[in-house]
Amino acid sequence: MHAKIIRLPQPSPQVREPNLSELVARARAGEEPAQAELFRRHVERVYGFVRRLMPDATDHDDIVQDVFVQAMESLHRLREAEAFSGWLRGIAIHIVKNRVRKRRLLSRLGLHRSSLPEALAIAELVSPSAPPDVLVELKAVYRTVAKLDPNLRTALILRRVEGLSVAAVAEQLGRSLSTTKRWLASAESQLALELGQGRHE
Amino acid sequence: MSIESHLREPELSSEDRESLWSGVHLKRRARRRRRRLLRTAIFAGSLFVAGVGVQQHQARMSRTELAAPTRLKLPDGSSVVSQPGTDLEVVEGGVQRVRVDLRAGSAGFQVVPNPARRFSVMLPRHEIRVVGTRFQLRVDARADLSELDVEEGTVEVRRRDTQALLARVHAGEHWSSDAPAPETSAAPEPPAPPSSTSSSRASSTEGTARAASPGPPNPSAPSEESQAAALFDQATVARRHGDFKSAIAGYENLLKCFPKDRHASLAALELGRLKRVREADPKGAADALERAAEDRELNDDALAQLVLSYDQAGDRKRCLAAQSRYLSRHPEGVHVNEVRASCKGTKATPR
Repeated sequence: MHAKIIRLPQPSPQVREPNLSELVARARAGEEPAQAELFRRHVERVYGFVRRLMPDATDHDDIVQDVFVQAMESLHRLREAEAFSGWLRGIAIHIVKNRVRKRRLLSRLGLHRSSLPEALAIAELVSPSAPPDVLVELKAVYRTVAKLDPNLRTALILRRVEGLSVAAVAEQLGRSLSTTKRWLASAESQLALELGQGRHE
Repeated sequence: MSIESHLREPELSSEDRESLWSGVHLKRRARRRRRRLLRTAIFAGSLFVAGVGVQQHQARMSRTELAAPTRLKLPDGSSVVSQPGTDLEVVEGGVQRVRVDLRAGSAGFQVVPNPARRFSVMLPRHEIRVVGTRFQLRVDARADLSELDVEEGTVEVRRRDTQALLARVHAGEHWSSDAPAPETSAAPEPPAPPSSTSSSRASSTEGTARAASPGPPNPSAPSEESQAAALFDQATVARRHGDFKSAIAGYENLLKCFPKDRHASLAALELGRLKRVREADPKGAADALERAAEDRELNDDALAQLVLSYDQAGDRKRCLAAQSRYLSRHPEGVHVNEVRASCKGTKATPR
């Protein structure tokens, strides 16, 4: 066990920045500077995505680390280097879905310890200048997803929060278009109920 | 109105990035170590089966001589915070026994209660024996001095060589190795075997730092629920460290001692999965999985595992029966594809 910080290797002073394909190829070959550069380029986006997928989690750092660990260990499975970003998102979705599922299970068994208050975490997801109705909708989305099955939950967040098209949601979830449409329809109807209730309150 | 145009991306400082990268690095190294350990364990197991015989295998060793205070999570769920410059080694870590050697420096221990496990900290001349408590230790190797402060519960101090009980130190008390030895020091005792009941508060406290008098039952004795929770945590930590034998023993122990505890059904599910995947014992797995399937919340996972177990065992009849149970109860379950693909008549490999 070591407590010391492992320094993130600094990019080498090159004439030009390596492109993504080059980086992926070098990272695949086990070059740590290339892996670090991929991490540096994508970590903020992954972090933001993970926070939006599971805003009430207390272990975002841990999830983000797991995403990169899994990515680095299975880089050989990535077919197209240009798809690296989407592929990372797919890994994050898989990890978060498992965590959500596990957390619910533990919670039903009375073994889950509570996490951050929902409102606090959700308000941090949008910029302070966002109009109030954006925050209202966002809160309704997260109130809805709290009651949904992990698949429906992820589909709704990708569609409503990330703003992906239905086809992109299907691709990201690795499901057929018709299954994704069915999931989204079910999730949207619950969201409509939640928004309706929100307006009446 | 679109939410995505108002999203705020987190701004990570360079320290945040360094810290995250450190985590990635350490986790990858830990994975590689686990894989190596697993390969070693498989190799050691095959030697054992072949009759060569394997000497006692020390599950995990780690040594810290660090420049900063460090928290070390032990396989039984307990934790140690060691101060800079501390020379500390986890010599043995498992469900039945944990042994930590503290040669120099200072460390705080938080030990999860478990009367079935022996937790010892070896000092240069003394042994600190614990059931479940919190305490601080300091070893000054140059001055040949060891000091102990107990914050919660009670710990025993024994001579390292003869195992003689020197003192029982209670919460709020201090013990130091340079204090004069008590006149009535206990006769050498044999090492106490791990027992299923807590004996650390026995009244025969000859030579203790503070005379114990018969009194009311120990209020800090761990409850059944906390014992079960500790067993569950221990087994889970062992599983995560790749110590599957200890994990299986822990889950079995929990089911045997606390069959009605709220952790029991989840322990049964984990036990079933481990027996199926890690021990290639699908029949043994099936018993545990049937137990887990009784819990409505775990029925989905347990039935799916049951199908895979019977499939793995080549028991087509039971496999089809379990498959039908799964599909009728969970037609849209998370494992539906895997379950549908099972029971084809061929012997499946562990998935």
